[in-house]
Amino acid sequence: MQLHRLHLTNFRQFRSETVEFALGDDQNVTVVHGQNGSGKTTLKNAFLWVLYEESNFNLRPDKLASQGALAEVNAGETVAVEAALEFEHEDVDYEVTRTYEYQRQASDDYLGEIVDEELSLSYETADGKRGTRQNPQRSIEQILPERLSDLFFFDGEYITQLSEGHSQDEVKEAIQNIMGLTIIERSIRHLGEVEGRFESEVQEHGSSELSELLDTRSELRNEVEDLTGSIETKKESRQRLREEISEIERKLEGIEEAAELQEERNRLESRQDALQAEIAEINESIDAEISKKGHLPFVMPAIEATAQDLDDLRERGEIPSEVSNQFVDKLLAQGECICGRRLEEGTHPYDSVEAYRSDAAENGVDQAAIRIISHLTSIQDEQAEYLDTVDELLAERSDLRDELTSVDEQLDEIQGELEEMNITDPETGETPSELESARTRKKSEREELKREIWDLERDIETREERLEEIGEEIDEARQEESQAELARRRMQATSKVQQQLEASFEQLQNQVREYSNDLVSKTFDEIATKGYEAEITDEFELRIRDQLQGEYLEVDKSRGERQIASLTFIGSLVQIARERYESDTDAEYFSGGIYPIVMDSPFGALDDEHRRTVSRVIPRMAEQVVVLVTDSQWRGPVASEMNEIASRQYRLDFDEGDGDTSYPRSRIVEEEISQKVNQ
Amino acid sequence: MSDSSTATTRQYYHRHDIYDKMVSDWEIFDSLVDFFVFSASVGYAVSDRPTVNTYDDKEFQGKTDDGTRGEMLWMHFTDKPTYRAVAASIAYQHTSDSSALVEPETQLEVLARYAHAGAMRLDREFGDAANPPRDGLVSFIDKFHEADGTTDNEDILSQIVDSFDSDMMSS
Repeated sequence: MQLHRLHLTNFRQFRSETVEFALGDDQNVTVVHGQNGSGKTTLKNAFLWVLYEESNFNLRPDKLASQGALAEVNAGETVAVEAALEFEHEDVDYEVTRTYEYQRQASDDYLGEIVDEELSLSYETADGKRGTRQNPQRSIEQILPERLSDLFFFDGEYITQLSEGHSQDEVKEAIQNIMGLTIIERSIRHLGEVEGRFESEVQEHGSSELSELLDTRSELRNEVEDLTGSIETKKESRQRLREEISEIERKLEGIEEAAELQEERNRLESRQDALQAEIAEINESIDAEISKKGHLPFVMPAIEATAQDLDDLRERGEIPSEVSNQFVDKLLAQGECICGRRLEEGTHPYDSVEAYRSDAAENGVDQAAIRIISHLTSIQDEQAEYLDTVDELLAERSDLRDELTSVDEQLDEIQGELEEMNITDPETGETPSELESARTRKKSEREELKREIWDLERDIETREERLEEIGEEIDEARQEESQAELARRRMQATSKVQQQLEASFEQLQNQVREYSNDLVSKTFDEIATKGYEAEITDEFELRIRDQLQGEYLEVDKSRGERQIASLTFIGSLVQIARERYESDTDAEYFSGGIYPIVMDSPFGALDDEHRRTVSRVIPRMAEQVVVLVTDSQWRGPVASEMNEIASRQYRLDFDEGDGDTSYPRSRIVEEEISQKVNQ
Repeated sequence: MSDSSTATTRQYYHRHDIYDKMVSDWEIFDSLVDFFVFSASVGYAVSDRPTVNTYDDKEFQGKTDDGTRGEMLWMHFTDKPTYRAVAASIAYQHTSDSSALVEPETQLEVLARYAHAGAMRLDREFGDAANPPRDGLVSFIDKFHEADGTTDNEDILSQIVDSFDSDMMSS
């Protein structure tokens, strides 16, 4: 970027003034000098305003308009405040123009009110192609990013800050800005926040619940397996007892005196089984009746009352409606009557057809009424059938139970008889009494086993239900666990990226610091007073070392060494930007650029000797330098040092006016070479 | 309203423990639908409109977090004319609005309210039974039937049917 020309119109005390900037390798400095208050700082701020709409005026932006210009217009009329900067960038000529339109509100209004704003960026390429950028602010940002504006448009205060103790923040910020590292710093900070969020997720979802559930499930499965094994064992025992009982019964059949009783018992037991089966069947039938029809006695009053109400509606002629409402609605929707007439809302035919609608009964009520009434008889029949069927089933079951009781009694009698029969079987030496007692005992054991098996089956059922619940809980816990695992992996990845970025950030920052340090040290050594050396410390402090003492010394603010160190530091950054721009390697964050420097009052309150020294540094800082100085700073050693390289020199002539017929105004007067020499 | 348009109509109901006992454990009722209708009918007989109207949603619809929420689908009613007549009649008597006769949503909601009342009563009567309370249910039904004495109305109902036969169904 190379500055060509700045033109200001009604911009504060400048009514219509122009500065053209020095170009060239050897004479790259433009000097504008003037007394305090003549407009030097305004000129520097004009750059910031035209480029970024920023102004460091202590005054409000609504005081940009020239008082003199506002005084020349009537209330209600407007004054255009404008800054136009012509520059070249990458072989393209640009002109950026920013305009505020101020309206004078009253005859005593010398501030005006902004009523319109405009920004334009026109360009002309080397081959003569002209145009205007659609988004001028974005284009400016691409040419000279605003974050760099502090480095290229600065004042003496900034220079002093850089070389003051505890200047790490300013130095670091400058280095980060020139490298575009702020985006990495923001990324690192953001990654830290993201890592925190993932950590919260891990805490939220991660727990020992899953392993506890898996342990519980495993225990339950083992218990089910054990219970199943117990059931199998008991079933085998029951089967064995069944076989032993059969064997005893065969023995009883083999004893002549007991055979008849045993055969009778076999018959009775068969009957007992049959009766029990019949009773069970009847119970199932009763269940079926209850299930399907048991509700009817409770609900019959509702059905009867509904039927009665429907009958009342029928008697009043409200159902069935003469013409189906659905049919009427259909005709109205179709827009055509069955006679072919058009049915349009608001017409007589429409109203006539609509009048057929019955509002006594809702759509479908007819059908619902018919459905209820048509089933009324069958519902009544079902209820009667339920009552009759259940009565019959209960009576039948009662008979069967009576017979079952009789069979049970007969079996008890047989058992009693056999228990008293003490005749010894010559073949086995056993008596029917002993055999019957054993049979009774085994029967009892078998029944006990049956109960135990039933209990065990209930136990298994309970555990199966719990297993089913645990299965669902495990699925949920796994889902949680997988979310926690995912968050954990993301947290680790984030942390890793953050660490890598931090390392890269530190490395890049240190590379720039070391490079900048070399340049600062070298330039400082060439220019500054012997006995001092400057460096950018590992802690990013711009410090000046007293070579004799070998210690860091706090150099007096008035000494030029501090200004020189600051300026050489800024110069080093400008050089880094240029080298990155000219480098063939791809720049990830910042592609660099060639930038001018505009500095306001860089000499501070230095003595003549140090002003002379600083003057030697300035032209070396950038390819194009604009220096704004007070008349007092300009005279003497500064002027004599810079005359050779300052190919453009301007003087600010300030007239503060009388506030009545004339107002504050500065003129920018270019000085001739002869005048320059005479300064 | 056609059956196809209401096939997806559904209603949450409070599935008391007695549902599973009656259907799964004791196997007296063939399905949850059968016991739901039975409970609603009992509820209609033992409770009243103001009472069931005081039930808030969670009360008569059950809650998912404690596993008491069941869901009843209208499709289980569509091929059961008696159940449809029961649902329509209870809903109509509850609302006194003839549109309830043709609104499955209304009918299911009213049934769910009365089913909640009925299930609570049945739970009190039979919830602690060790064995299937078959005979107890038969007695419970009998007792109500005897107390109600609806058989006296048979002649009136026959007349209503006859009137409809000649007046509406033939038209």
